Amino acid sequence: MTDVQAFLGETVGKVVRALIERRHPGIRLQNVTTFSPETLLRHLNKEPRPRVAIAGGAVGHLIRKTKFPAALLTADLSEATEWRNDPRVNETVVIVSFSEEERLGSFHRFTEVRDRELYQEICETAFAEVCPNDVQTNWWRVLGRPEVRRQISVYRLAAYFLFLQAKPKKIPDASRDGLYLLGLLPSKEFFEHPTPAQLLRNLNNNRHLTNRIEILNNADRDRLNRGVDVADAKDRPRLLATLGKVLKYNRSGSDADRAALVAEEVRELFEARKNAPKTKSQKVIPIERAGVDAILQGDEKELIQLGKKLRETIDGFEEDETPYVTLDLANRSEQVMAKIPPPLVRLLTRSVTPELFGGRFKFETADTFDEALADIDNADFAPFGLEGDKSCQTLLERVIEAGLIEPEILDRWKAFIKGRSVLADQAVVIAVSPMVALASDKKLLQAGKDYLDAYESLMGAIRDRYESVASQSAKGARHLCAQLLVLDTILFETPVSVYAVLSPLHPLHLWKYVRLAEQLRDEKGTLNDEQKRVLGESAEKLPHFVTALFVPEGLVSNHHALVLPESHQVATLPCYQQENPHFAGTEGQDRLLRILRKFLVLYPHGRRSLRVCLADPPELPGLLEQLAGQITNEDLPIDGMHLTVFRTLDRPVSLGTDDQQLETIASVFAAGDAPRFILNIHQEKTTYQDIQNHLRQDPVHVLAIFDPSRAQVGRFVSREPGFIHPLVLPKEFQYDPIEDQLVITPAATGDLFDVYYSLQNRLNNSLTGSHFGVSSSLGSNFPKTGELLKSCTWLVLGDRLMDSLPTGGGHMISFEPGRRRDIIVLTESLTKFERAFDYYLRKANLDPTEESLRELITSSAELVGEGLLGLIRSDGDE
Amino acid sequence: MSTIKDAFKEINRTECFGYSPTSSSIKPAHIANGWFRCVLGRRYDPALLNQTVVHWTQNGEINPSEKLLSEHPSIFEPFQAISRRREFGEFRADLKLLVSPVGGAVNKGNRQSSYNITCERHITEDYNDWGTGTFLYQLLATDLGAGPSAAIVLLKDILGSPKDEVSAITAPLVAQSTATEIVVGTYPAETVFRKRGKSFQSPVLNHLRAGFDNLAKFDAAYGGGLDALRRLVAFGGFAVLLHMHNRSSELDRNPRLTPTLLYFPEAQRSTAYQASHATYNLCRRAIETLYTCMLKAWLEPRIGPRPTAKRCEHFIGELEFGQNEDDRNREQMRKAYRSFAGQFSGLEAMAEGLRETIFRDLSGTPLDFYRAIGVRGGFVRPAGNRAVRKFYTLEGVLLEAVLASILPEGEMPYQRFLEEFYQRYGLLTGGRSDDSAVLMDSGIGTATVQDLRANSQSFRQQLLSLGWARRYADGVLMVQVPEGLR
Repeated sequence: MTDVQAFLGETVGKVVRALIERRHPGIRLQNVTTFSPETLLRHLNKEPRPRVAIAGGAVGHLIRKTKFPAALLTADLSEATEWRNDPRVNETVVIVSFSEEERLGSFHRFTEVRDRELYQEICETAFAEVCPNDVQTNWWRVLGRPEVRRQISVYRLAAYFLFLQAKPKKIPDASRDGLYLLGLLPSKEFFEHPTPAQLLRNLNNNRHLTNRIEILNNADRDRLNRGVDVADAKDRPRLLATLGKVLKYNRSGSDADRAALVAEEVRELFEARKNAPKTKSQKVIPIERAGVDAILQGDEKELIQLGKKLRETIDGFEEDETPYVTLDLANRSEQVMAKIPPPLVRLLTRSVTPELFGGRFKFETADTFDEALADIDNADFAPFGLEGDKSCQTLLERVIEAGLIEPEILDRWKAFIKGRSVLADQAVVIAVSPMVALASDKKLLQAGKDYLDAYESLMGAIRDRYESVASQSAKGARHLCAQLLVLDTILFETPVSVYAVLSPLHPLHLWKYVRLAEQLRDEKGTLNDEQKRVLGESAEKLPHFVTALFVPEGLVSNHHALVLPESHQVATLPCYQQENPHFAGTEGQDRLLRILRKFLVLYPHGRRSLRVCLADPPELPGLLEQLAGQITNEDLPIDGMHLTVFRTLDRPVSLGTDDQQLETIASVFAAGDAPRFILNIHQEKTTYQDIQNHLRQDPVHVLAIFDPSRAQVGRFVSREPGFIHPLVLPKEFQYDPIEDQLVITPAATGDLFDVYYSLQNRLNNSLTGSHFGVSSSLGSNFPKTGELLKSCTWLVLGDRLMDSLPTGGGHMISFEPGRRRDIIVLTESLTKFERAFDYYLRKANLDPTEESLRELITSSAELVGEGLLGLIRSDGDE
Repeated sequence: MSTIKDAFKEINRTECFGYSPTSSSIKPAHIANGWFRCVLGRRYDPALLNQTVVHWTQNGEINPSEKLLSEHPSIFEPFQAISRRREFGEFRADLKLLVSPVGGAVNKGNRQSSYNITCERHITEDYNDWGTGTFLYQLLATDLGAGPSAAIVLLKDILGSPKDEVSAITAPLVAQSTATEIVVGTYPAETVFRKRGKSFQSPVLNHLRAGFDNLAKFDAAYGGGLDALRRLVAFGGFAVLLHMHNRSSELDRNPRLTPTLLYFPEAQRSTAYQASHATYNLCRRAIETLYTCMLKAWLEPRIGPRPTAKRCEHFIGELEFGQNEDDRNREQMRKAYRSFAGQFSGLEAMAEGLRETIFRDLSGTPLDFYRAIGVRGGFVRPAGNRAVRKFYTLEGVLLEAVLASILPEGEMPYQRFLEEFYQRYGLLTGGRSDDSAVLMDSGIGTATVQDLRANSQSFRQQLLSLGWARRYADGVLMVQVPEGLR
């Protein structure tokens, strides 16, 4: 018999005694942690004495040891059955069985004492005996919580209690040191800031750390070793000793080896590398961010080093490598990550050189852009070159020879070519990280400026002389103009569609980087740290200013000019696709998981079985993989989920074919027989009406609809010559009073764009000042959001230009603008928010009226970022 | 001095297991292929089956339909009409789904292809079973007084005269493949199948052999055909896993099996889940310990039983790892040794460091191998690589196979069944009174008895719903062969 078993016997005795005093006629102890029956009997050996049956127990021995009356004790369950059936027996009958005894089924009406009661009793005892201060009381309250009870066994809790009880004068210290008995690492700082929420967080963090060193994957092993490597001579022996202890525990898993560890020391070892001066940590930031930060900090050395490393990496880049590479920074602890997609490198190497200005790839079989991009070696390639009968240069020379324009225009062309040839050598680097490429090399940046100036000057000259050339050769003028407009555009013609990608040297693409790099360099001194931070974040992902790409007729077997709307991007380059009314990229999709976590904070009952419906998720396999990963790691703390997926767009909805992804998804949605996680994918195309009907029958907690609007390519007229800045893609607002409709179009005007559009208009016989743009509108068949909210608690809409779409019903609680897809969350009921606002305002001695409360909530919802959701912490802490 | 790579190979082959658990891509189909090849003593080269199934690779189309149709007009006669070409493409895709194992084990050519075997002509020379096939064959073929296991006869019978649809569909495609005889030879690790009288010295091998005999008995009576193959293969994978995580204690002459707690998922994860994960860690550690012990034995004659730190460092400098990256490995070994040196003796720290260095250098470690078979066989969950917190369970065919291996006929009370479950395979469900104590003895104090019992209740329910158990009016649960099979 161990001390723990004796203590548990006593605890059982207390629980049983309490039930006896409440006159329970029968008590069954069946599914409980093994305890000492001897201690139990000692505890029960006073009036009123119960009758006790211990299945298979050594009765004689127990009677001798405890002096419990022999008449009241048996090991035979049939005798206990007689007691139960005998009306003369007035005493409570207690049945004890340590095995899963089926015959106890006949005692099913007896009150069952379970481990849960013992656990609770231990906590109660702890409150009375080992909680000398509020910290300990809070701690034992945390230990008593149901979610903690699911992680800590009764045996461990009892052992921990006894450990504390044995050190009555040093309970706070013992609470820290004894954590190993709970399966955790002893911790010095565990009880700092001891609010219940913080203690729970500490417990979870400690548990994660323990799990981590129990498993210790290769990456973690490397991390720990590096931690020792970078330590200075003074710290190294200590860290090495910690590492030894970690490895020993990893090998043995024993309580004794865990007791030798200290959570803070282990964490220090994991983070030693991060904290080491002048060394690198594992934190990874995008390369563009690092580049912009370096410009803003005036850290030329860092910038040059980064540019050099990037160039070296790209020079030595092999096709079969993973597209993500990490590079060390000279003066920062982080590493930077750059994405170098091998197919893009191949494409640019082939089509963007000093002599080649993009071109057209014609594919016989490819169905999608990605397939085409991966298969350029099998495509028919017609480059836009310097030479050739219909090349821009040849046409220009002919026009000059014909005396239609002055020979000086050819000089402008040559200046343009010269500037471009410098840039073309760096095309891949510019595609991967334009800001780093340009800002790290002053000559390159200067070449960029010269190139853009030459382009503007050349295009302006051609524009001004277009009519005179056209009067002599209308067709020739159109050809020349068309060739100029498609410079540095790469077109993919497949049997099903036309795709395009702008080369990194396309002037309207390169423009923003050159301007921004210049401006940041020139004005960094005028910015404070906060402004620099915001600028850094914004510059990480600049908008694309060509939202619809004009492809003149005849270039891709097209008899008429085409306008391709922007569809997604590869590295930093915008891509376009014919007749693609919906943005295909995944932007915004990942925010859904965060929204679900916040939903669970407000509606914790949803954890039991969260019901979610998705319509047209942009990339379902990726989303499900993330979802399954978070469920498995308990980042999304749910016990069940019913997920239904519908499809209303042409975009297919499927689980994909990636084995690893499928395995991860299956590990949650196909795990076990219990249908706790149900995934229902309706692959056939349906309508919003059908979805609505389905939800009426089967409401959900969260309904998320992606891309309900259709993008329309249209021609828009700018009334004012715009001012344009690389960080902001302006929007044009046009109100149609007859249709009572507001059309919002992101459109770039001003600077280079005006001259580009004016040539485009000439070619297109359009009004001066007009340009192509993309606007969005909801179809008439999209239900009013108020109607949808009748079948869901939260409605999430992800779409471009969400702010211009009429929704119709519900309160918006979050609006997160995205570059290509905004995310809004709507709800019918604000009660949860009202209560919380009211509570906290009153806590601050304010007495808000109902009206002012609503006003406050409405205005908070419009806060940029997450709106009201930003006020909810996903870990549930206040 | 032989290189570390060679030494590790040799240790695997002749000391640890006799097979080389160094691939994370192994699938039950690979094991079956190697195993059946030994059982029948021959292999085939079903080239046409391979060409039909492997239509495309990453490099494009390699076996065009036109070519197949023109070269084998009589075999593909129904698809000769131009109008049926599309159907031929679909047929090939469907056939691939049918004969190619989930996750992919069929590649261009049969040298590295394993099929979902339904008849002997599907057996190839693929070596990707890494020797596990020979291990299983040896387990069944060893004469324990009554000749080889009945499972061998059953396997020969099913594979030799298939009666299922898959074999019928593939028959024209494999008809021309000819048999090549193979010789199994003696088992490389002689200590593995060492006998004492009419049984193996190894308790786990005795139980597994009995399990196979029972399974054969069960299938002879109730099953046969493809179902029998499925069960045997599932049990074969299970046998390899059991052997792996018990081998260390077996060499230690410890008769106790390493406990593995099966967890049957409930609505909320309980301490039973934590404990099941802890037993998974325990088994991983048991495998690591085995290698550490073997490497210790390899090191001792070289550096002595109590080497000084200087001697160890010097020895690391002399080691040849058998790779181009000798320096990198040496540096890794040095770091690992120093990390362990503070906590272990010199020899022990060297052994641990060497094991870690070798494992780090392998593309698939024995632990990856163990996980891969477990996940693909339905014994270890969750399946995803990112889900690092694994637990044990028994799913689908494997559950049926393990049940049949204990209870080939008749019925027995649930408690006795659980006892057999533990005694034979070390499997726990939480239903025995001793389960908690067994876990505690292994240093796993994470489970609350209430949760263990609830876990056992889930198992009961599963048995009931599968027809493998019947509850009597007095609440007693009897485990039995399902009536539907009888």
